[in-house]
Amino acid sequence: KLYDPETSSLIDHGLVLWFPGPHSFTGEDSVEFQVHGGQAVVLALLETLGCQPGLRPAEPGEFTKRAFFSGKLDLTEVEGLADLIHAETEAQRKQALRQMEGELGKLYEHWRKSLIHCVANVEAVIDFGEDENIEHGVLDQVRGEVRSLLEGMEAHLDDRRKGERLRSGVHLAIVGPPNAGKSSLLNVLCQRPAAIVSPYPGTTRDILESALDISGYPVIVSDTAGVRCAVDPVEKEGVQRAVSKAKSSDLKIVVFDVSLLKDQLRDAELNKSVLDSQMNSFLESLGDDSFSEEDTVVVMNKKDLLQSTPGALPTCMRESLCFVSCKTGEGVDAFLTLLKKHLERLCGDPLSGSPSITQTRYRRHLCDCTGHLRQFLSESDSEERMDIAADQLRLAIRQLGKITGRVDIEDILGVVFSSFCIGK
Amino acid sequence: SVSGVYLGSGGVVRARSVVITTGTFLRGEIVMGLETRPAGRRGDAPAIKLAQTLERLDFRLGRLKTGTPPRLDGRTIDYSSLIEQPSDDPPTPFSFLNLLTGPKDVGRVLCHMTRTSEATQRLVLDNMHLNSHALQEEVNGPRYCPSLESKLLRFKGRTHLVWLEPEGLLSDLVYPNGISCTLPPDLQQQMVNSIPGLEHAKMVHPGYGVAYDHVDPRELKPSLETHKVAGLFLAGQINGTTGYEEAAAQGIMAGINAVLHTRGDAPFIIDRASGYIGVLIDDLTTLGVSEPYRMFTSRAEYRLLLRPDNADTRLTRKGYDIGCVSEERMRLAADMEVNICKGLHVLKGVKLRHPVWKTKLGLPCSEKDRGDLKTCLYVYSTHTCTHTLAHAHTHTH
Repeated sequence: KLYDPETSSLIDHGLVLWFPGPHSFTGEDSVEFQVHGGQAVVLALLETLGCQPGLRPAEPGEFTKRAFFSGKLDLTEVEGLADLIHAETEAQRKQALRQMEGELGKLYEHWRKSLIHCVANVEAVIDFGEDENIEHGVLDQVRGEVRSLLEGMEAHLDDRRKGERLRSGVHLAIVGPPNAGKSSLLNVLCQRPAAIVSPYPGTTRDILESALDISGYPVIVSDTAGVRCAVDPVEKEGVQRAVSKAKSSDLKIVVFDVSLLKDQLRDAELNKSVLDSQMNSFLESLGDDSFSEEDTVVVMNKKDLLQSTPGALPTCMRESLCFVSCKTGEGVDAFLTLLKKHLERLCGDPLSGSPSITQTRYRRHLCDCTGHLRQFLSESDSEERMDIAADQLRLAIRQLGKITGRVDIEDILGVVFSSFCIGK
Repeated sequence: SVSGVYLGSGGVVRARSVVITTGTFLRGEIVMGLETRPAGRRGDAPAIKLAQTLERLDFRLGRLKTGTPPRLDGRTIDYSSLIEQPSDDPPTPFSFLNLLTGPKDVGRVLCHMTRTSEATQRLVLDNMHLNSHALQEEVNGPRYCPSLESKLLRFKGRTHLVWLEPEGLLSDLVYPNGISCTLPPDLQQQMVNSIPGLEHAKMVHPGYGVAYDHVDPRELKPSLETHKVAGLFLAGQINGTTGYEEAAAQGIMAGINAVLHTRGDAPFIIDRASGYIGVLIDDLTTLGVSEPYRMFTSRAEYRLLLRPDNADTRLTRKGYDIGCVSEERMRLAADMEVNICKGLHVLKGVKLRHPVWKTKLGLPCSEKDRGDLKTCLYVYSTHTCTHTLAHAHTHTH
């Protein structure tokens, strides 16, 4: 039972939990009040607490901040927690959870520790090389270690931005000639899976965009104006915008009205060239052919209007091509499966392999880090420039430290003294 | 605030500022073999009352230990089989006022290098029961190895470097750097004789360990004045440092600030980017110490900036402005600043196309070199070319 100490009036019946530090979220002693969640109850409790001497309302994120400063969470875990809170789809939740549990942080910390070992060896040579017995092979060992770290980091960076895309959403553009059924397709997408209602904080969305959850992946769909060679300047502008939208998207869906070709589609052989030329002339009308096979799905809509089943429809002339009818629903399942395959490719499986880079911030620091490591390798050739080379290693460590929030010179000294017998 | 000092002899010295530099004297205890006796240093009594005063004033005290090696009679050392360590030639004087223009006979003395032997290790490890080293573990030892015992215990199976350093030009005493220990004196003599070159060396003074109190340097402001008592300054080992340079650096800073305090002037502070003194004092006063603090270049994040060659441009003017640098020294430093400026100006003034530079300097050209103009300064800083080459080409323009 919770009572107001001033008035002795009863506030609520609830559960009070005491977490003595360091076994608490923040690492400090903390108390949790679990009360009936009604507005008035919570308000009454907060007001009573606010009147107690020495208590004040926490600032936004303050508990997490304290957890960080007491060393319970590193920055990647803090940001993972934020991502978890903001996750809107299943795949996002999984990725954020993995990061919050520290996997990404552990990876970077592991690299950082390796680099600290390297720099400690170099510092030992610089500070004590003259009077202590530092073995000659030390520097070669360091260079080898740095080279292998560099390889690991470059492989991690070469991930085609899967993690970031999953976190902020895959950009999908639907393009095609007028009246091909683009809007119908968009409706299909919007009806099947749950639409995301609240906008994801931090990303800007065009008012013509819809945010969707497709098979657990966040997708931002842009519908565009029908594309054709336009004369009217307003329409021309619309076409330009459609094209540039498509170019900047992660995935493109090109929709055609297949019923327009019903006379041409007779046998398997012919079909391939017919469909291909359709695609090519469309691309020409856009004035560019930047639609690679990999990130384009071709949808032949209005299948229901083809009288005959166009014989043996070539099953895959283009990997990602399907025949649908938005009206009847035919072929839509196959289309969604195809779409999901692409989304998986673009976002990666959040649970498999090593954890992904989720933020541009991490990518930037990692790139700077690898830059410094490369510099180190070229400077460490000459013994005279060893202090300049060592500086590069320190800068590399600092970049990693900026990701996780930890930078400390004592770490280096600790390693130096435990590995080398440095006397008085 | 402080008003003076009570002397052991009964007198009083009145002062507006006081600097305390107790070294290892604060409740000092010397350890030799299994014996511990109160002493600040061999032959000197420890400072007990002063420690009590500091305690009474509520200063946080810690206890540290350090050691010193035995002193040897240099005439009894056989240098013939040992590696020589000559002094720098030409020598680089510490002072910028010392304008050495050529090799001078400055009375240089050689140091020599030797190593401990297996016999040394056996002797020490077999006699740990007679050595209070193991018993003293509760007092903070540093991460590095201050004593022979630590080296032999932590890094077994290796020989350890010993430097034989003459104590002075006119002295026969030799300081064997690297074998400070707390062995009983008779065993120390044996230990010394187990080292190559020292088979017949005679020990003049035994080495010993010393444990002493120090003040947590976080009690100090960056000026080395204590927070709790105005006008009271602490410098040297009392702040938890070890080493002569570390002590000297604090001494001069405390001295300067003690004077400024009497004048009521603002304190003199050197920051981490201006000198190692700054790194030292900042580390001490913000991080405190858990082991005797020794300066290493790796402690300085601005190591590339803090070099002996630019000490004058970094610090001389600062010292001049507060009145502790002579006119002569300042003039030299100012001239140097001017010359550096002029030099940089000349280097920036000579411009040639990058490929042209490379050809003149005999460096390989590559297609990546574009034809834009590069200054001589750029070439200096980017390419490994000797001074003479670049100098020669600067002069032809």
